[in-house]
Amino acid sequence: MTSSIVELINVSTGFGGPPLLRGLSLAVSAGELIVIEGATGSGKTTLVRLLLGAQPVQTGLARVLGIDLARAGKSVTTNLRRSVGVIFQHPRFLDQESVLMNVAVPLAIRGTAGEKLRGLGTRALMDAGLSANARKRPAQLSGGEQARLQIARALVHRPQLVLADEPFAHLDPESAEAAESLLRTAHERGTTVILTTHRPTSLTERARRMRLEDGVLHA
Amino acid sequence: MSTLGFSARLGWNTLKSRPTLTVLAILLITTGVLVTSVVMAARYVLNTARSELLAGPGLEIELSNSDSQIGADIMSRVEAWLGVSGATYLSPEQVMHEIEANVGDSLANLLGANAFPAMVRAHFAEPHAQTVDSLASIARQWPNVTSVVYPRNAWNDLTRLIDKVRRWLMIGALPLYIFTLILTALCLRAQVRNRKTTWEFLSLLGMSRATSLMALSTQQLVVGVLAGMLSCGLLWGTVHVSQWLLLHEFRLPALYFISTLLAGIVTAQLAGLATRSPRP
Repeated sequence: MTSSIVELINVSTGFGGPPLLRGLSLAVSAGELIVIEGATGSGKTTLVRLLLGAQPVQTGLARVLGIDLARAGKSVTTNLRRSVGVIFQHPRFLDQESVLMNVAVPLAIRGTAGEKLRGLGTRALMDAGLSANARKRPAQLSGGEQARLQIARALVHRPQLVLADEPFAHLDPESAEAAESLLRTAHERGTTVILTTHRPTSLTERARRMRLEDGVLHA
Repeated sequence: MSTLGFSARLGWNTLKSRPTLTVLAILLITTGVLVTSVVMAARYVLNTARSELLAGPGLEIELSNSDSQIGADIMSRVEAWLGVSGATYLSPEQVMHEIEANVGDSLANLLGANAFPAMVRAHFAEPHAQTVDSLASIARQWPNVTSVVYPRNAWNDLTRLIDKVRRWLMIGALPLYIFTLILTALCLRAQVRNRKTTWEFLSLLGMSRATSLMALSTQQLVVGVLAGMLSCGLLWGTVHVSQWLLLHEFRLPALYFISTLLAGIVTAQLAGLATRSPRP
């Protein structure tokens, strides 16, 4: 199973007390779309943090993009995060920067500069239907636009893997559909997507569905 | 935008996010650096004044005889003394003319006759109290010498004042500097902590530790440069106000202003260490 994008074998994680996630086993191949459903407090965000190397592996084997998370040092974890696109449950932006700069943050972090950065950023905004808002501040966007901006930012550097932590949680149906469409397109282009949600989504139709209950993952 | 440019913008935005804390940090650093600089500058000025006290008028050896040959003999003895850079013989007429030039009035008309003695004046390149004292005590024993005059009491007063300023530096300025350093550290830390979620999400997006440290360094560099420049300006103003109040012209070397600017930058960087652990 070493060719898997994500490989979890009997993984437990927590903050020193009782594990928040227990006996987690999951194998995700390249290009797959995984939808993990679970109620609030079931451990969805913890799972996303675990896959980003932000949550310690207490037991078991956790491997993402070939990197053993239990053994990875800080620089390896940083490189892993640069290869992943992340969508947060609550949109987070650089408030004092423009929408264009915000969408290009993953590129700037990697050292991309100048025209290349602006070009890729503008392209990502066009794909998300936000090119008219390039000069605005993120706070000037609506909730739906902010969600699309987050998704555009997660995709701007063409990551192998996208981790989406309840990206549609606070959106009206119309905005949610627009955001889902962006993720669907990314998946169709071959990007592996792991999405957590607490409510049904149209992406579920073409996805492998799993259920997270009280820290335990069910197929 | 390069990683360096990105981290610089991040640091700048951190400063802009809480401008009150930025201004407070600048004023705190300025207070600590300025007080320390002013006390050190005062010490420098007093040291210079003490040297000028003997380097200017020097030590005056009054002679009982205005014979120029006796004057030349005393001059040669004085010039052979360790630390003496030169000696000048002044006839009674020259002494009176010099005093008249200072007073701005004709003493000949006032006194009728010239009552001033001839004298030999010793000059010192870098006068030390012990050197001048030993020359004075020996010169008093030479033939044809009636008295030796030099501003020993003023020298003692200035030495006491310099010691007092040194104490101010140790018990006043340095503790104040450390206090302002701690408060500045708390300000900068609060500013960084206020953007904790930003640092956290950037870390999850793959921002390296080096990039975040560069951003913090930018934050501290801007604060340090502004505080250093403000301190330099206030030091310059203090020097000019002091000159006006003391009616005495003195100059501070450029090195004092450069070191004040650097002190501001270094202080900000030192205070910034508080923002680095634990990781923001």
